[in-house]
Amino acid sequence: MSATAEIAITRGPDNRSGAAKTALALLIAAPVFAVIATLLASLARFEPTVWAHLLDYWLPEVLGNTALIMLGVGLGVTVLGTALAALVALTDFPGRRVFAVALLLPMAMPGYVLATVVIGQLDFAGPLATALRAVGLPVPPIRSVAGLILTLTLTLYPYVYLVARGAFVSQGARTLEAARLMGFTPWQAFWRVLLPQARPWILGGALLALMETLADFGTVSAFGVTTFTTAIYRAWFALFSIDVALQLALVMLVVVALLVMAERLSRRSARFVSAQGAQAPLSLGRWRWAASGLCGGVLLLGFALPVLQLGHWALSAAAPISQLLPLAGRSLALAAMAAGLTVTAAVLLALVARTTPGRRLATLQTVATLGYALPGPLLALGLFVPYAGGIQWLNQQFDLAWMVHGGVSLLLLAYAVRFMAVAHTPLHTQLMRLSPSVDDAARLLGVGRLARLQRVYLPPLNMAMLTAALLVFVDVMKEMPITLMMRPFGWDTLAVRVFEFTREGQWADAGAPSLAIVAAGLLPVLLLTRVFNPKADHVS
Amino acid sequence: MSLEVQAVGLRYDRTPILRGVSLTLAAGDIGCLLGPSGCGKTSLLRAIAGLEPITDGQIVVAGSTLSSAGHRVAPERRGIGMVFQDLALLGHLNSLDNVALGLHRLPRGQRRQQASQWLERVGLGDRARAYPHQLSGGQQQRVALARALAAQPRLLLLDEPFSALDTALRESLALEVRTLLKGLGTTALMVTHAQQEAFAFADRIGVMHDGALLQWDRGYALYHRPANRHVADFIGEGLLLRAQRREGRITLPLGELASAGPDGPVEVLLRPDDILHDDDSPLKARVEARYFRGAVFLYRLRLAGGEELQALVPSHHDHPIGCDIGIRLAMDHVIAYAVDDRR
Repeated sequence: MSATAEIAITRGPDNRSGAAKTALALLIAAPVFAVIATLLASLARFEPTVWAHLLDYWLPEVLGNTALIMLGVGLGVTVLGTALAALVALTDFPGRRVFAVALLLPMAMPGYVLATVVIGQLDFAGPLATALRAVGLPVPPIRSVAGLILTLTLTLYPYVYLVARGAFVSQGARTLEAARLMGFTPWQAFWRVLLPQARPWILGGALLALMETLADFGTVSAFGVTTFTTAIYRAWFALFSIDVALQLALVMLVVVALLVMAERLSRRSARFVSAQGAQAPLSLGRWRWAASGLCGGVLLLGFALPVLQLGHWALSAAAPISQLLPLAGRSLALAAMAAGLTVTAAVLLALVARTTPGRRLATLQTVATLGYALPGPLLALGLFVPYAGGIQWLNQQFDLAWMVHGGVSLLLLAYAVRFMAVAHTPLHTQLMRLSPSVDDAARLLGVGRLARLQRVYLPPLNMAMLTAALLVFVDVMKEMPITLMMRPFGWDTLAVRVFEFTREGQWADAGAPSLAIVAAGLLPVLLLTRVFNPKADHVS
Repeated sequence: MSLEVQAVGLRYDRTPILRGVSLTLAAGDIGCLLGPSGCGKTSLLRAIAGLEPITDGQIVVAGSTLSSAGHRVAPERRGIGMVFQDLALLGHLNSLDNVALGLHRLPRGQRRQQASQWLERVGLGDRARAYPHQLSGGQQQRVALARALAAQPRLLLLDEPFSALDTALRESLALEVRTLLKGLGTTALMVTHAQQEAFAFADRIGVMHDGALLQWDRGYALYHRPANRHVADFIGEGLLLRAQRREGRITLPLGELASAGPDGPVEVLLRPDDILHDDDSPLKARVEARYFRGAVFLYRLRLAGGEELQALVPSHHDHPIGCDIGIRLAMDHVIAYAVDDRR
C-alpha cells in the first residue's frame, strides 16, 4: 500500500478534507456573520445624541406598536390556526376534506397584497366604506393597529394550522382513543390531553408566524403603522441616517434573538411520534354547519374575496396589461437566479455538514440558515453597510469609482441569506433519511469520493432540490422589502410595484401584479397538498 | 484470507471503547462476536473495516497491516465487505443496481451480468427490478449480502445483519448464509447479541464485555468452559453457587467436586443441565417456580440450606410449586472461579 492510500476521513485527527469542507461552510455562513457583526459593531459607534433622539421620538412608538402587533397576531394565529386544525383533523363536518387543503390557500396571499385589498375597500372612497356610509353605519378605522392585526392573522394563521393539523392527524386519533378509554369525554380529552400534547408544535408554528410579523414591512407600511422595519426604512431612505437605522436594527436584533431562542426551545420538545391511527372523526352534531361556516368564512376573507377583488381591479385598470411584462420578467429573472444560487449553496452546505461529523459543521450549518429569522430591512442594512465600506476603501486605494452600487449580485446575496433555510430544510430532511452507513457501505465497495456524490447522495436529492428551488423562487417573487431597498436602478419588480401602487392609492393598478404574485404563491401550496396526501410519499 | 487482530485499543477522546482485543480467524473461517449492546463489538467491526482509527495494536489481513496506531489504509482500499445493521441499501436503486454498485470497475454489460448472478445465488433472481421498499425484510437482507459478496471481499463483516428479522427466519437465514460463505470459502466475522444465531453461524465465537474480548473460542468451549464469570453469565443459563475449595475439593450440599486451584472461597457454575431430576435421590429441593418450555420444564429450586438451583426436567415430570423433588448432580467438568472476599 502506498502512503497516499493511508488516509483518515472520519473522526481522524488529521482531517485534510475536513478543513476544506469547514472553509466552504464558513464561506456560505459568512454573510450571516457579516450582518450580525455589522450590527454589533455599530455598538462601538454609540452616539448619545443619536440615542437621545431614538429614545425620544422613535423607540416608544416602535416598541409599543411591535409589542401590540406581536401580541395580537400571536394570539390570533394561535387561536385561529389551532381551532381550524382541530376541526379539520378531529371532527366531521360538511366539506371537511376540501377545507383541509383549501385552508392553506391564504399562504399564497402575501400580507401586503391582502392589505391592498382591505384598505382599497375601506378607504374613504372604497366601495365597502361608501356602502357602509350609505346605510348610516360607522366605517371601522382601517388604518389602525387592529386592522393590521386582523390582516396579518388572516395571512399568517396557516403557519399554525399546518403544524397543528400535522400533530393532530399523526397522534390525534390514537390519543383520543386512549383518553376515552381512560374515561375522558372527547371535549375533556381535547383540552386535557390532545392540546397539551400538540403544544410544542403549535408554539413552534406561532413563533414562525411571529418572525414573519416582526419581519413584515409591506403590510405595516400600507396600514401606516410604524414598526422596526418601517422605521429602519425611513431612517435609511428618508432621513439618510445610516446610524439611526443601524441602532434601530441592533435593538431589533435583540427581539430576533429572543424569537430564535424560543423557537429552538420549542423545536427541542417537539418530537413526532408517527402513530397513524385510524381516523376517528368526532361528530359535531348540530354544530357541524357552524364548523363549515367558520372554515368558509376564513377562506372567503383570507382568499376568495381578495382574489375576486384583485381580478375586478385588474379588469378595470387603465394601464394596459403589457406594461407589466417587463416587471414580471425582472421578477422571474431575479427569482430564478436567486433559486439557482441559493439551492447550490444549500446543497453544498447540507452535503458538507452531512459528510463531516462533529459539532463545528453543525453549528456553521445553523448559522448559515439563520437568515429566515432576519427581517429584510435588517438584512439589507447589515449587508449594505460592510459592502459600501469595502467599496469606499477600494475607491480610496484604487480608482474604482465605477463600482458604485452592489447591483444585482448584492441583491441576490441578500435573497440567498434570507431564504437559505427554505432551500436547506427539504435537502437536509432528505439527507437525514439516508442512513449514515450508506456512505460507509459505498466506501467499502470501493466507490470513490466523486462517484459517491454522484451515485449515493445526489440521486435521492433530486426531488428535494426541485422543491427547494421552487420554494425559493416563489419566496423571491413575493419578497418586497429587500428588493425595495437593494434593487439597482431600473430593477422594479411586481412586488415593488404593488407596494408603490398601494402607497399611492392606485388600487386598480395594483390588481394585475398582485394576482400574478398570488398565482406564483399557489405553487408551494400545491406542493404542500401533495405532502398532505400520504400516497404521494412512499419512497423512504 | 486470514484476519489477525492484535491487542487493538480504541478511544474516543478519553473514553476507551476497545481495550487490548486480540483474535485470529483462519482463512475461510467464520467468526462471531457476542456481547450486550455497548460492549464495543460494532466498534471492533468498524475498526477492522477501516471506518474507525485505532489507538493501539494492529489489524492484519492476509499478512498485511491495515490499521495500527496513527495510520490506516482507507476503507475503500482494504477489500473488506460489510453488511450493515440497517443494510444501507440505496432507496433510489433497484436490487440489481444496488448489487452492481460494488462492481463499478467492470464494464457495464459484465457488471449487470455478474450482479444478476449474485442475486440468483442468494435466491432473488426474480426480484432484480424491485426497489428495496418493495422487498420483505429477509429479501432486503439477501440483496445487502449479495452486494457485499459481489465485490469479492477478502473478508466479510456482518453487523447484526439479522436483527430486523423474526426469530424463526433469523436462524434459518444464518445457516443459509453460513452454507453460502463456506461454499465460497469467504472469511467472515459477524456481530450479534443472539447466542443461538452465533452457535448456528460461527466456527469461533468471542464474548465481549466493556470493550474487552473475554474469550475467543469454539461455541462448545464457551458453554462448557467459560473463561470467567462474565462469560458464564452471558452464555447459556445457570447460577453461580458460593462454596469453599480445600485441597482440590469443593463441597456442595449436592455432593463433592474435584477442582484444582488454591484454597479459598469460590463460585461454582451450575448449568440447569448439570442437575438431574431423580425421584429416588435422597437429596430434595423445593420447587419455587417453573417455566414450561414444551419438551422440558425449567424448575427454579431451593435447597434446605437456602441455595438456589435451576434444573431442566422432561416436561412429563409435572411437579407443582412448593413440593419437594429429588435431584442429583451430574457434572462432567467443574467450573469454579475464585472469589476475592476481601472486597
